[in-house]
Amino acid sequence: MIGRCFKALASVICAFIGVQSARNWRYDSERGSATVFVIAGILMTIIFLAGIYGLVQVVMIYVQYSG
Amino acid sequence: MTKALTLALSLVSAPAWADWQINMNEGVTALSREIFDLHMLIFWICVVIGVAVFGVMFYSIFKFRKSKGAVSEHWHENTTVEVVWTVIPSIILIAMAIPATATLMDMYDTSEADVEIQVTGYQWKWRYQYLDEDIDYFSNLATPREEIANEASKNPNYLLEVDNPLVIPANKKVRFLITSNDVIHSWWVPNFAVKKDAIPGFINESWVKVEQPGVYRGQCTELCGKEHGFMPVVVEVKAEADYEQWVADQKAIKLAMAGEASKEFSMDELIAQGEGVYKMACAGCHQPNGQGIPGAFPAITGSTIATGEMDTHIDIIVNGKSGTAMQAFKEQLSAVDIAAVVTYQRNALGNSVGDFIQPSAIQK
Repeated sequence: MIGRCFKALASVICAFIGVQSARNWRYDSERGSATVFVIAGILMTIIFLAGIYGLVQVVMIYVQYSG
Repeated sequence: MTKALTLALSLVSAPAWADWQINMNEGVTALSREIFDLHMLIFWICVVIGVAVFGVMFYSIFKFRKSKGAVSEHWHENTTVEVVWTVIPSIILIAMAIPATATLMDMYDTSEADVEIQVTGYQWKWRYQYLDEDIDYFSNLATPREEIANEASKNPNYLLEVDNPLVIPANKKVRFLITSNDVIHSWWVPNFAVKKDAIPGFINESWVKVEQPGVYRGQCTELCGKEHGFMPVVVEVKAEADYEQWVADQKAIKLAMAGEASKEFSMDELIAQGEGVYKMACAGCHQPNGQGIPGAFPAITGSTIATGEMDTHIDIIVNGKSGTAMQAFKEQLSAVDIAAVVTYQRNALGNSVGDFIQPSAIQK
């Protein structure tokens, strides 16, 4: 089960950058469950948004105003 | 031969090239140069990418053409190549975001300003209020109506000249608080690089620090109605000492004007001054001859207001008429100007009511 979740997560990451092999795609569509992909998708979206937010916060702290 | 040489020389001379400038303006401030450099950096990155991508594409089209017996290869995917062409553009975009973010942060850093000026857009003029000094005035188009109507030849600063330019000191950080009184305008001086919308009910901030004294010109850049092209921005940058002198002069003028308002004027004096006020504030809509534009702007000649009750006439100029293009002029015109323009409208432009009013009787 954990293995399948990780595989789903990896597939979602692949979907984020838009690159996937035909072999993995066939595996996912035959063996994967929709619920796991939906949860992994939502999780990755949250992580992505938090990452952007965090990056902006770090930039705002470290970039010194020169004006 | 001499002619050809002159022509060739004129093509390489600076003014000839200035007419053909298609690149962005480098400007006159450290920030405008920073923006220009960023623009050029991104531009050259795009050029390199364009040359590389189209180079490979055109080479492949030529080298592997059908007439040379090229046969297309059939394959479905290559994950490595796909990852490479996804990761490389991502890296390029992130690399470009670093200098762009730094420049944006400079643009938005309006802190620690030496001078603060509120810029308000009006249909169709700008108002400048110096928040630390008691200075507040309107900046109107100064191009004569004859030039606009093609009745006189156009001067080099045609539609880029005003009666009262914005005056700021050189080498000082000046913060602008930009807003509008009526519709959306936009305050732009190309040499300062940054353009800001003037939106009613909002205050947008911008700043500038100009090194060289001089006159810099710009325009309203948000379509704002009939005279959108007739409300230029002119900024006069003065050396610090000259700026201090200008501030002192403005205060002296204001004191003198306060004295004027209690003075008694003759009817002729008022009509003479009123003609200038009319051309500056009224003629844009009501037309220089007072005939108006039927269906859009009423005539002053024979108008029931301009030839009727004095109080009604003054009221419409001071407070405007809501729901129409007639704006309130109480902020824009002094008591002397209002008395003068009322007297002018009643006794010129084909009207001859025969009465006049003193500035001291104008209630604003």
